[in-house]
Amino acid sequence: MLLTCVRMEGRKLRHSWLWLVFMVIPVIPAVMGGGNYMMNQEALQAEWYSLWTQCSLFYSNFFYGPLVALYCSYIWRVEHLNHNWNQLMTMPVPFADIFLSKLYLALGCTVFLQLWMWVLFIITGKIVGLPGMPDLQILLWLLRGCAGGMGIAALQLLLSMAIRSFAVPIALALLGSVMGLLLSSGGMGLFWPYSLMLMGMNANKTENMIGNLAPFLLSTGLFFLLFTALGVCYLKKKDVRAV
Amino acid sequence: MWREWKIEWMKVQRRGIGLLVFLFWGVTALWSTWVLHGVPKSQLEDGFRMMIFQLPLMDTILMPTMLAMTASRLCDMEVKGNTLKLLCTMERKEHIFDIKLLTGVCYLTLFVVMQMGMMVVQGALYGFVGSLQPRQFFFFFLQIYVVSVGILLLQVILSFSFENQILPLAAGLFGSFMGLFSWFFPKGFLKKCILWSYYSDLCFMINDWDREAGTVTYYDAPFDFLSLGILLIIVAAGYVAGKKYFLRKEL
Repeated sequence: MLLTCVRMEGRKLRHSWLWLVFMVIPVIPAVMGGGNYMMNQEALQAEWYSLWTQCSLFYSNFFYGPLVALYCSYIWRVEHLNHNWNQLMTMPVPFADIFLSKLYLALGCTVFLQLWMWVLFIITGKIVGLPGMPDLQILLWLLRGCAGGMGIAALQLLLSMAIRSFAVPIALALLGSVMGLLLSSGGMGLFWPYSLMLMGMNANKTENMIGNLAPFLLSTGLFFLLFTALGVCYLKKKDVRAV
Repeated sequence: MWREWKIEWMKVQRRGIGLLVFLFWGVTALWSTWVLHGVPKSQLEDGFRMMIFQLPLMDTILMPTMLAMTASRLCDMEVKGNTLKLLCTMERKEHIFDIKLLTGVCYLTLFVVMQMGMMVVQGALYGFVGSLQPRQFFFFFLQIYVVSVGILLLQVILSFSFENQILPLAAGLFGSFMGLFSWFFPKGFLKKCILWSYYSDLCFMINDWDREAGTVTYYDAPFDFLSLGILLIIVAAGYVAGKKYFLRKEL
């Protein structure tokens, strides 16, 4: 049933122009990072690591959250319109499957964004003239960023479901991301889901931000499970308010 | 027009726009406080100049999304409910456009005034030496307000143009990125071609970072009246074109 739900959710997203947004917007931090690297080569001596600091800085601090929020808002927008909530809730499908199928797509979006960032990072590196390929450690940071992004995706899906506006969850994601920057700088990053992405990505740092992986993974897992459980409970308990 | 104005404010009740604008202001306040905490006491003496440089940078990131959200919240109630045609039978079409824009401008004015108030309060709390000169205060207002009005106008046009709000919101995010990117552009033609880059183009502070001493010194620069003039022309032309497009649009 879950697989059928995933297929149906995928079908709802056809002809949505989402792919264009996700292809174009990450190009800007890559170009910005490359330009910054070129202008400050005297200070940035660690080659691929230095370029990573510049490319990941703006993407994970400010733009990953709103981008995934845009995706989540779009997934739920279909249900918020045209009395679709009524139809959705009367379908012979478990509530958990409805939420999990949408979550699956949001996680897919996170993985896609991260992989696209990796491709752009390598292209930028080659354009600015870096030799060879980046260290495997940077790829691991990217994958760690994927894990950090899972909690954000689950939270945004919950917000987009509960708030019937398309725009408000995106605005909240941007505010959350800024707060994430402040809290991670203050050493409180593990307690705020939006900080986990930039910590995982090692944004703007050449030295590893996460010494011990266990608390990071625990925090990520807890936030992910918490928001997923809240989302499923919300669907079960809350009555339909169709437009 | 007064009747339509009152009705618009009744429609925006409980839509939470004011609350979100307040949240954006709150995050700006926290962010700038965090910046001030990291600055050595000796450098805080020139705090007003530092804030006049830092706040537009923060606004470049936050404002395009905030304005996209505001415009979308204002316009999507008619778009989503498919009531624009009905509304046009009761109100003059050009008034609908003007009032939506004016309502957005009211929220924007509230935000900018609160931000300027915040700067004065932080100056008192952190003991900035010297007072904020009226000239700096006025140019700071112009820098933030005029650019933001231009972006809001663009967002209102986009929100009315697309039933699917993904494009206006994506434009807001794109604008945040481009605006931020533009801080690295050299002053010149390119900056004047991108609406979001006017936050940096109209910046009238220069900073000089001494890498060895680890200090940043801020200087006043002449205000770029040419850029302001070009921006005002762009906003006026955008208003005329946007309104004309809205009036001709098949609802």
